[in-house]
Amino acid sequence: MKKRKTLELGEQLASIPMRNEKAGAVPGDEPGTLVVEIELRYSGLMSFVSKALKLVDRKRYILDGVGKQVYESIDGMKSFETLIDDFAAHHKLTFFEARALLMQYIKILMNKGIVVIGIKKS
Amino acid sequence: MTKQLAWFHFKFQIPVEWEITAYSVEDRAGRLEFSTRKGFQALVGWQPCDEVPGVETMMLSFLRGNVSNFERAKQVSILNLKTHREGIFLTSHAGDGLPFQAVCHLESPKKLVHWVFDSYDERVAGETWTPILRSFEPNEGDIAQYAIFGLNFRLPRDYALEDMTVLPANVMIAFESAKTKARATFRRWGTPDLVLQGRPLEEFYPWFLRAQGCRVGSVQKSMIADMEAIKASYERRGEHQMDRFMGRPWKNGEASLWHDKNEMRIYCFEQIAPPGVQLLRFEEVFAGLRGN
Repeated sequence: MKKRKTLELGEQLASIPMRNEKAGAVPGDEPGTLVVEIELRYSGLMSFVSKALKLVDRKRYILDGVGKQVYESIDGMKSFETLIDDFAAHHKLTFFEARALLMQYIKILMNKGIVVIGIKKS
Repeated sequence: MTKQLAWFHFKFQIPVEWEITAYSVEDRAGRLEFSTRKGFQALVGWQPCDEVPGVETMMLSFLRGNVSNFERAKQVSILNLKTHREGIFLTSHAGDGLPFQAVCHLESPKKLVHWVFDSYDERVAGETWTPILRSFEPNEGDIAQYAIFGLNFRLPRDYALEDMTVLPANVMIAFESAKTKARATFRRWGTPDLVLQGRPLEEFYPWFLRAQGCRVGSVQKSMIADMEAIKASYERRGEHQMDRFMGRPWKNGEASLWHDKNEMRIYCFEQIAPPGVQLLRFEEVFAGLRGN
């Protein structure tokens, strides 16, 4: 397997998190929550199987608290560094504390397909 | 702007934006590395040393061993090194752009304290490493001061570091007295909304203590330096010798927890000891704070 290149700190800070354009977000039933809906895509044989068996084609995630705050702060224009500074200011954290916590949340959102990261080519 | 760093045998004033991003923490020998968003800035290390070392030899070894990707470093000889004093530190560098060292020998604890800075540049010396080196104060005597990761406290010298966990916005440092086996634990939490999850302190902290395997005694609301606080008593299984083997509890656990809403941090100081051992007074440990 091809080893993923590790980003230098500068590259990481310059990267831009972006919301999945195909993901729709609506306020949840409970106050202070957001429901994000992702379209599921099956590949190869599963594509036929999913249509034949009418498998679930969407997945919903409920975001609240910090997860909702992080999602809403991602606008596709702010760099990761700017998001860190905003997060740090909001929670009165140091730069590296905010970076570590924000990375955890963004990673979760990425794993769920809600957010992607754009990296500038040097 | 600067902040205080106090650890084991030294105190310095370091730039406020410097954060510790790597550490090894043993009284005998260790190091702390500092970084900012721009990357690595410096490290401070300490090691046992009976006599003053040859600084030039140390510097050459350091350059050849750690910066081999610098072509110039391989060509550096002892004749190329320049040394000068900053306070009690002797700095040694091989020219602009190369990492350089500053060392001092502390006679009393027989320790060598050395700083390694990222890159020598005479033009910025006055703004960067010179103030750090000149701010040095010894951390000697019967009472040691610790100022690190947002915590600032004093302990008798015989309290040795036992454990330290540094997570994002969640720090725990635990000490144990070599004389009495008393334990003193310091905690600092960020993001209090996430930590408390709507619970008041007097509900959160007993839950936390039980999660640590303690039996909670009394919990009282209090104030510390005009901050909302609680005081708690607790017991837990003894940690030494027959107490541990027989499962005998230490029953004299005392804790103070306070919420600094301006800083958005929750602090905690816990003590527990074998029966009959006197615990430290809060005012002795936190000189700047008054509890009620």
